Amino acid sequence: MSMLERVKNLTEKECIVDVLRKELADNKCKNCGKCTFGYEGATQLEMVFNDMSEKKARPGDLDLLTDLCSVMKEQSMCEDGEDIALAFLEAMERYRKDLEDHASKKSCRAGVCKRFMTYHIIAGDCIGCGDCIDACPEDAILGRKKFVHVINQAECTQCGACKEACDEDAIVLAGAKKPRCPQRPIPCRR
Amino acid sequence: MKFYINDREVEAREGQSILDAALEAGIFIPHLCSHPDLEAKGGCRLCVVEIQGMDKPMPACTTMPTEGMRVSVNGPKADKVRRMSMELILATHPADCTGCPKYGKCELQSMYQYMGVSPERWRKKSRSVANDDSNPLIQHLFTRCIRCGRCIRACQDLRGVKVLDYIKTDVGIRAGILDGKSLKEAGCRFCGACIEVCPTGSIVDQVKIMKEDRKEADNIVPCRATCPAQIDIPRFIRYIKNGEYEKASAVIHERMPFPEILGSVCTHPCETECKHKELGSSISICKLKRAAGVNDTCEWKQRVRKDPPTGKKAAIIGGGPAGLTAAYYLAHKGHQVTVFEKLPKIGGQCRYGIPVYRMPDDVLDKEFEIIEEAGIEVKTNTAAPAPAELLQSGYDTVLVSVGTHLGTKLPIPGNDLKNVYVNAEFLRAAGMGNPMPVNENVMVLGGGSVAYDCARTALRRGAKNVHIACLENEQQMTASKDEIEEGAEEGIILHAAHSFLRITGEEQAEGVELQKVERFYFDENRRAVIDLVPGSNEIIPAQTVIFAVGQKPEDTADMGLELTHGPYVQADATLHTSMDGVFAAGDVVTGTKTVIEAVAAGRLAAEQMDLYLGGDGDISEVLLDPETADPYIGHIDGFGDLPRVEPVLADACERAKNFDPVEPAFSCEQAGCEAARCLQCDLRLQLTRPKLWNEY
Amino acid sequence: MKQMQADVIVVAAGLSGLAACISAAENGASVLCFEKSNTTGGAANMGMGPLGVGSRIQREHMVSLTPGEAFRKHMYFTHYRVDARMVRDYYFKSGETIDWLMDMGVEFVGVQRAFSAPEATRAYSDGEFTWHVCKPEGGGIPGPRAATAMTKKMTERARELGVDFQLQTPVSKILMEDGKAVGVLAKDKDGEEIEARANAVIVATGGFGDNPQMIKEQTGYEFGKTIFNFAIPGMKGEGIRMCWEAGAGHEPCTMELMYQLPDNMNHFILDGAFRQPCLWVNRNGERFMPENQIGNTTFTGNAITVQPGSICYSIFDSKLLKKYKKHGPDIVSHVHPHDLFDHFDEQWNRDLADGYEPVTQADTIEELAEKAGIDVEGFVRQVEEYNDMCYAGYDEIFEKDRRYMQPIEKAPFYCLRQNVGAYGSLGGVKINHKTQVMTQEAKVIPGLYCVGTDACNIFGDSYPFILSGNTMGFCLNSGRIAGENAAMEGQEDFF
Repeated sequence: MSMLERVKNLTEKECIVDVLRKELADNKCKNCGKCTFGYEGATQLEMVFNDMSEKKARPGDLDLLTDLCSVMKEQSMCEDGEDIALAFLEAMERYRKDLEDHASKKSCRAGVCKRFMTYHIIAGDCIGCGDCIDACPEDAILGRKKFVHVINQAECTQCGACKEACDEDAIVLAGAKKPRCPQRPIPCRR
Repeated sequence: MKFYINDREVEAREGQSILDAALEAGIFIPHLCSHPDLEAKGGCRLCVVEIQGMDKPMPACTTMPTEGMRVSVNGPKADKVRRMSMELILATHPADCTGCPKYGKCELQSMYQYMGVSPERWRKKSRSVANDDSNPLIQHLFTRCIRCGRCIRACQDLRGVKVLDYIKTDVGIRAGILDGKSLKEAGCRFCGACIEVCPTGSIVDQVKIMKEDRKEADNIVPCRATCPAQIDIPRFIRYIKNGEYEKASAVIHERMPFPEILGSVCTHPCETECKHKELGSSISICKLKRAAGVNDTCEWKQRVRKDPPTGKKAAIIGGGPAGLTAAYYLAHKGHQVTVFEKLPKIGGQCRYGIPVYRMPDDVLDKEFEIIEEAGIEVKTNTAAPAPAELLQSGYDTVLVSVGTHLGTKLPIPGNDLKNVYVNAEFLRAAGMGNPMPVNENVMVLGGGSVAYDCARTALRRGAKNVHIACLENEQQMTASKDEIEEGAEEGIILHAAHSFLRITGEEQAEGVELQKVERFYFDENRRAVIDLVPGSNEIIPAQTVIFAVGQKPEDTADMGLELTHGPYVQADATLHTSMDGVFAAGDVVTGTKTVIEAVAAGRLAAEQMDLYLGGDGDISEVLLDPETADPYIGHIDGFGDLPRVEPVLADACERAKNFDPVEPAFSCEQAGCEAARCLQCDLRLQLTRPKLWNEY
Repeated sequence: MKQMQADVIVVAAGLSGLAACISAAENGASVLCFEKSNTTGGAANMGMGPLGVGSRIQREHMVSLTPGEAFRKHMYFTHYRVDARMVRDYYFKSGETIDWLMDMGVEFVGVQRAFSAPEATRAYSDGEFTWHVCKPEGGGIPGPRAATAMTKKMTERARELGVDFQLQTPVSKILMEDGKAVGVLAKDKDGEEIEARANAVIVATGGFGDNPQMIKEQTGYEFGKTIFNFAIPGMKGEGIRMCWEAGAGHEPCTMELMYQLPDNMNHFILDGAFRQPCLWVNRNGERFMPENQIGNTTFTGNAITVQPGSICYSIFDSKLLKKYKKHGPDIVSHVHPHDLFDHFDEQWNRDLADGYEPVTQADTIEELAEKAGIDVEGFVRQVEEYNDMCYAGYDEIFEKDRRYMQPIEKAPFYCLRQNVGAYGSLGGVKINHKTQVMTQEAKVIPGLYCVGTDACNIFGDSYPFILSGNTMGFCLNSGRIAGENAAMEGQEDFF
């Protein structure tokens, strides 16, 4: 499937930012290097999209890329560069809202870009067993036995080890909308 | 075909792109990936222009003009593309130019100065790779590569060497060598085209081979620049490679009249500078020159300069290489030349200093024929009158080139005993066919070429044990490595780093007392300092002792010229002596030097004397039509490791018994093989250097 | 030998040479300029902009610093050990010089002070907004190299005024007759010798940053050993040498210090990543300055110079690294990329694998010191003391801002050796405030001028970052002063 078709046939579960940055990672243009717009253009697109996915976008990024793609589509040496530019232009038209949400560091609608997601321990489901604390490689989970555990978001790297370790399904992944959780450990209700 | 750029009418030739036509017309269009000698690809898009009737800016390097086409270089659309391209290139190019060897000579730097753009609105990224400093000629700093592909096109299409290509690394695509090979392993021919066309500091000459006090073209072709006679070395070697000996010989004759003589005895400073030496072993330039001389068909003779007679007369005192060279070129300039030679034949030290096993008489006779062919009057067995007398007797100018024919003895006890000889006398006697007798044990004192000539001559005269002693150690000795080796093979016993205290004996020399030298050097006042090893004295039996510790000019005191350092004739940089109209050149001015330096001095003398006689001082000769060398040199596996061709010398035991030539000339096959190893450094100078914006 | 003739000869077309060319030509002189590279602009092509005091832009930005104030600040900074008349003339001209540049089409984005950094990491609160940063052509954000936009405009202006640029033509000698400079000897790119004569010669060759031997002789530093300065190719010090040969007096030369890594360009990410207020120690393992001041490269360069071996080490642990990765570096400089730590692992692992000498990683403090070449005992003691202070929340030794008091405790530990660096050399040729070259006895050598870095003797021992843009500022203004004076040489009859 061409990159353009890929953009046109995106499913609900997919994130446009994630899909395009992965498409670019091993794109023909990235393996060629013979023309500036194809190679350096694809490099810039990839770097900016990676940043968007990592919640590191800068103001004006989308305009910058639109500007780039408008030139890239007509100044790449072959269709490969043109294809990328057209796919991105299409994406920026079709998924403007999703892209803006990434660029403004608000959210990833599809919940694919990890940086936009946070793990939370639902107070009502936690039994205070300590399994997640043991599993956390970053020591980012506060709590002790029989107290509801709390994830320190500043330390959490979203690796998901805690969710794996929890037998109670008390840990959830959340996007823009976060569940209400205690700020510090409180005694368990269960 | 006519078309318009920025409303100016421009003429384009068939096949010329818009860019080429514009640059030729003096209109600057920024460009980076295109190069005048390489096929345009249109990758960088800096050269985009707006063309009436086309909806998008087009690269000027790959677009051909049509009649009446209207092109605008700086339209808003083109400017936008060009600026963005430059920004994108800079975004991944290292920001730090200060450590770059190309600073101030970089096309990219010049281009961003012209465009004044900044990459700051883009993501910046450095695709850093470790510098590859491992090759002695070419340095790779590919962190600075901008993927313009010029080096790749030069290596692949222009040269056909096919070593450089786009390669994929974990930090991205760049120019490089496939499979992680080194240049040598990949079969690089070290032509330097990649260095020449690289617009950034990604591929550069190794710093140490680029001498700062030498101009760039000379650094690129160091052999030619180093040759005192400035022989176009790469050019004649290329002809030898192609089997065109008559052309090779013509190239040499353009700068120097005696290729076979020099090919036998030259000290070849060119080989020390040969870039191939850095890769392993230098090209055997000297022996190739001999091959050119041996296979000479003399076609070039039809094209030598024959200026009309000037009616001016020049006298040359001394028919050695300096005098003969001057005579040769002066005659070609139409002057009437007379050579005065004290000895029975012309040739100077070539004939009477260098033994025949190194420099056979027939070679001399053959190459000196051209002197008489040039209409020069040669008076042998004739001592010349003093320069002033010559001027009075109708000569308009005089050259003193009498060389250094007087051997010297050191002031040590016993130096006046019987059978103590000096080098010049000993060798001259041998050369004239009435050799001086030698005894069974011979000691030669001195560490230069002449010492070896004396020793090896003594051996051939029947001496059983021949010794050489000198102050210098083997590394310091001025004799060549080959000479020392060949001498040792023939059985000469070397006492390097020994001082000679005295010659023993009552009337007749019996032996030489030697003492080991601990250290021998020159102090800050350039005085020799000798530290001896106490108690290391020994007496070597020798009934014949030959001093070979230097030579000086003879009979210069009576010439009426200002002298310097004793008997040497004082001459300025243009070889004028203290007497108007009298010039001096060669060993008599410089002290004993090499044949090639004498030839170079002879050329300079001819130029200066011609100027003095009212000529233009131009003695240059064009003996063959200039040809552009084929830039396509192709790929050769293992090129950098091809071994140097060594001649097979006559068997040491046999050759020490007679005066037959020791070393045969290269066969054509050997010469061809050796010539094929040449890096052809001069090809790089055929490449066009792109003009920068500030040159338009 | 080719003969050439002009009223004024300028040796080298860097920033000071260009300024001299233009001002001499503006004052009616015919100007011949020899430049050995193939571009104009010299080292300024790497820079971002010059100092100016009292310019239009400053007034627009409500910067009220006056030349007199700048003069006094400069003299206090240098303790009056430098030529006050020269400094005075320089600052009083500098604002007008910015206007002069703008009138020839140079654009500036605004005025800046040195080392933009969080307040607590700024070692001096009195840095002035004097640095006029050039605007890239067609807009855009300025970065390194922004000053090429200025050198290009200056080159164009010079050519409009008829300045004759001889590119790739190095000058080898100043011709002296009767104690007066009367011209130069040069050699063009084809090797032809040129004898050029003029009423005045202005030397502006940019110092000796690329001449290890001269660095050793004049400043005592050993290139590649005790100093890793920018060695901009071509900065060989020939202008200084030629002036000295012509009889110029010697002024002490200094290096314009900062600090950086060997082969900086290929390790740029690490260069920036370790410029953080983490733990900095010398070879004995001891701290030697409050780390929140390392953003001041001049002071830090000075501090490293006086440490044993003229080296130091910057160290952080995994926890700090994680923090930098997550929240970004504590100090962001204008030269390093903002997203340094996104590329940290890639560069670090490659450098470790390649055996890049300045980097060390270890799992214990002892092993780190051992591998890096730091005194083990001293370093262990220092880390203990430092960590204690971190927990106490107060740096008893240097009063480093408590925000940066982060203990070094979680393995693996990362260490980078830092070396003294320099932008180039400064000074050497004795001049007066008219930039006329003087003998050791302060007698003017008629017809000879020296400007820019070759004659920049006004900084004392350290670059005056309190008035930033000073290197380029001095180049421009000394060049202008020389051009104006040189144009008058040989015109005495008219007055």
